[in-house]
Amino acid sequence: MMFKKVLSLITGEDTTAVSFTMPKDRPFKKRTERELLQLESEIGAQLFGPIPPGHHREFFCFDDKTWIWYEEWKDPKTGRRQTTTTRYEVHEKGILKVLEGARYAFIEGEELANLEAATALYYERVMREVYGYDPHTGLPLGTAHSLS
Amino acid sequence: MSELSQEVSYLPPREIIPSAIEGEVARDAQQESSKKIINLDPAQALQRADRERLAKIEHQPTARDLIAQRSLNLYATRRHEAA
Repeated sequence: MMFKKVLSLITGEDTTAVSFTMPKDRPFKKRTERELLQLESEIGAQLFGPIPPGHHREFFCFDDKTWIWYEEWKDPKTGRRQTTTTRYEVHEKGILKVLEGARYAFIEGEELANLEAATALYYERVMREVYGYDPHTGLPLGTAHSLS
Repeated sequence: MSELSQEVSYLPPREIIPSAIEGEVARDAQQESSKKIINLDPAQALQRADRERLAKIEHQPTARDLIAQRSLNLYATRRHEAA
């Protein structure tokens, strides 16, 4: 449910009518792009350490130039729901961080290094666990070349 | 015929240069090159070091390049694998 909401926030499309039932009992059935994206995000959410109780996190590569980090939690004092969506865009000059309220800046230093490390882990795990490819050779896992 | 091409024409074919002479030539060239570096004034030496460092950095993918490459690969893989 949460993932659909995040996607609709990013794309501006109403995704409530789209079924997200994962075909776990039918592993050979092809999945839609959105289903694959959701699987990727489940891995992405784990990359920044444990998620505090009451928090919800999504982190995924949205397209060939955009990464999304979404965090939702309940304010313990007010009990109100808080959300934050951060978009990281790949530009020629660098990585642009776009926050709500038209705040944006090219990231550098430790923040850029942390994002680079997170995308490296994401790439490694997603290629193996979602798509079954060796992330270094691009070959299907289990083939002779991917073991070398 | 120019002076340079005359000089070149006197060089024996590479395969008949004895390895000992070859080693000597290499050593002389290295010493000559070291002398040149030592003879550089500090400003030139600094410029040269900067150029070499820059060339090294330019050949290494930056964090931005790595992120861009992963984004492209992931997106292409997802589109390829999707129903």
